[in-house]
Amino acid sequence: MTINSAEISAIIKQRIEQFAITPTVYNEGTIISLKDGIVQVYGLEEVMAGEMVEFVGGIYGMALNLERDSVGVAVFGNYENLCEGQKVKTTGRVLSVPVGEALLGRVVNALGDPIDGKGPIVANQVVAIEKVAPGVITRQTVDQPLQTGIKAIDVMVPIGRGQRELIIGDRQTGKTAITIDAIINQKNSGVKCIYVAIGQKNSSVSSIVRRLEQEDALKHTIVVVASAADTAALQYIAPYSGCTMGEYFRDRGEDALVVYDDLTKHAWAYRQISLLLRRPPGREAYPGDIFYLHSRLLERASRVNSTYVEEITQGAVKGKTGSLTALPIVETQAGDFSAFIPTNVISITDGQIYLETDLFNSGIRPAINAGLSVSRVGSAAQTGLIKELGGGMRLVLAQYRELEAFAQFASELDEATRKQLERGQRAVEVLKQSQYNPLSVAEMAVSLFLISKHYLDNMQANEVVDFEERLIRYLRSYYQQFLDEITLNPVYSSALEAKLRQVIDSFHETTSHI
Amino acid sequence: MNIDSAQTQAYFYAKVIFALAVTQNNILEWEKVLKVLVAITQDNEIKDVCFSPRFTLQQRLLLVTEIYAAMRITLFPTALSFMRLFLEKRHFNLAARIAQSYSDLQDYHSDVLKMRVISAQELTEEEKLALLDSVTACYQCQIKPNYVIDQALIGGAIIYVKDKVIDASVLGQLQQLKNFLR
Repeated sequence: MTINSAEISAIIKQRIEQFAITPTVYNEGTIISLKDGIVQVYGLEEVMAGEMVEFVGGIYGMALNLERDSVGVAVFGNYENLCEGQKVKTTGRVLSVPVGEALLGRVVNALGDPIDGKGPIVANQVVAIEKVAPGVITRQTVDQPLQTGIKAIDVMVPIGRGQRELIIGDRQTGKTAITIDAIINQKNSGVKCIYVAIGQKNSSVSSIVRRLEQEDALKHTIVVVASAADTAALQYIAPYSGCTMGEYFRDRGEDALVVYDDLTKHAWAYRQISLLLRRPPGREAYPGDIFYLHSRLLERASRVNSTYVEEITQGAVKGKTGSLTALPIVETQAGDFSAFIPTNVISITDGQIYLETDLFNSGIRPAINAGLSVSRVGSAAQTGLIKELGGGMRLVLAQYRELEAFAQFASELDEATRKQLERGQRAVEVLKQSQYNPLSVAEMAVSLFLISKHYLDNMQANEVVDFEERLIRYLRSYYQQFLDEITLNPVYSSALEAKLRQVIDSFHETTSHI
Repeated sequence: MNIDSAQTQAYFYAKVIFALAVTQNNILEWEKVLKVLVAITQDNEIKDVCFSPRFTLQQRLLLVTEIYAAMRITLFPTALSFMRLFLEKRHFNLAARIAQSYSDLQDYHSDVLKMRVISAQELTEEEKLALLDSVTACYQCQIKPNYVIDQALIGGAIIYVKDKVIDASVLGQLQQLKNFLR
């Protein structure tokens, strides 16, 4: 590569000409104490709440507590080099992160700085991380489905674009796996994804990024990382940063999905900051505004109408609605979802997907408890075809769970009960799905068709998964066009039923099912 | 607020002393007491005596009282109580900071603001006057200026009033340009 010094000089000259020389006006304070990433600063009389302040060495912090004699600041960087007596400057800016298409495919920290070694990010604009959620008038009804590609979810707890659906469960129950599958399934759907890792191990985040890359899903995803090694302040702001990045797409008439993994650790980080700031502790030592911490975050996930989009884009985008769907994750301890943070987030969200350790250990994956999982707005957004074929699934599973317990005591069962039990067993098998294998609407419809039209009745329960997998492989090989047609127009009709029957019969005729 | 910090501790001492001084109407007397206290704590011999475990608190207090008497300053009851507390807690490192904070509070109380101007070159009398006029007009109170020269600024000046900083120096502008070109 040849470097033309004249060109470089011209660019520098041009930039210097653009530079406006003005005196800098700021407030200056002095560090009077420093403990675990929280700094008390004397001075800074005119500092704003949430304003970024600059320490010596280019380290930034955020003013959180404005007290009579001092200001409490949470430090974002390495605070070990700070000491009492050092000067602190106000910046006049509230905390902002870069947003835009340039961030897609990148791994960034909570401040929006790249940490993936792929070079600097040239972002369209920089936006404040704390924003008020869109108002009532600007909202649009949630009526478009967000396909996760997971049968158990899309059939029983459907998620709509703009919905907030909580994923809750103990450790190692597959919470993250569900969200990663949902992100993978957004490939070619136009939905932009933001995965926010809060307080997680760097190795876990690294394997998630690698998997997204392998599945070709990173190009439509932004990964925001505030790992366990980062300061509590960074973990505190990470979900707001991710949300701001998602809002960029929503406000331009696009659809976005944001995953907060997880809000329990977010609450821990905020509790740590609050206690160090000497805010009064409440239940479980969380501060009084812990509910507001999550409600103001999740309220920003919404579907907005075309007028809002038009206003925000100043007429550049017309007649399009935008949405930001949120999948917050909350980890429970020993299945106790009546703890403080889980109940708070349950009450904020539009439903929850409850994952159970017992189900997971018995091989039912995803380990979704159909009885405790609910989607309050998603049914309006469910695809007609899936609604038609999977409508009775929850009832079948509920009856099966009830009879299953009863069958353990009864020695002899009547024919009707036995059939119902068998049907339930097959429904459970049909809803099983391996990880990183999201299904299209058409593939899901075929699976549901098998169970609803009694194709599996003469089959052993342990053969169901294998049969279904082979059928789908067969369809992908010989009837991909038919599957694409269903996905494009997912409406149930007698013609579709006839065609599905014909396809399944042709599969039976081949030897591939043996 | 973390009371372990020397600065904060000093500030609280100064605040309480000033509140007492206002109530008892002896602001200037306290100023003298604190000035002498700073001088005492800077004397290593006296400091050694005050730190020595061989002397009781009473003996140390007597020594300090005698020093004040020698300087023709009588310690009034509240000042004596403060001195007892000060010696008991051995807060010698705080004396200068207490005096400084007290002086700041005194200025604030009497509507006097301190202004520090650091310039690359000596300011002319006209410049000083113009600067003083504009800052006085801005803050609507009496300004106590302090002019310092620092050639490292290359040109221009930095003005400090309360905790506000107006950086109009060439050094500051070069720093801005550096950030802009980064």
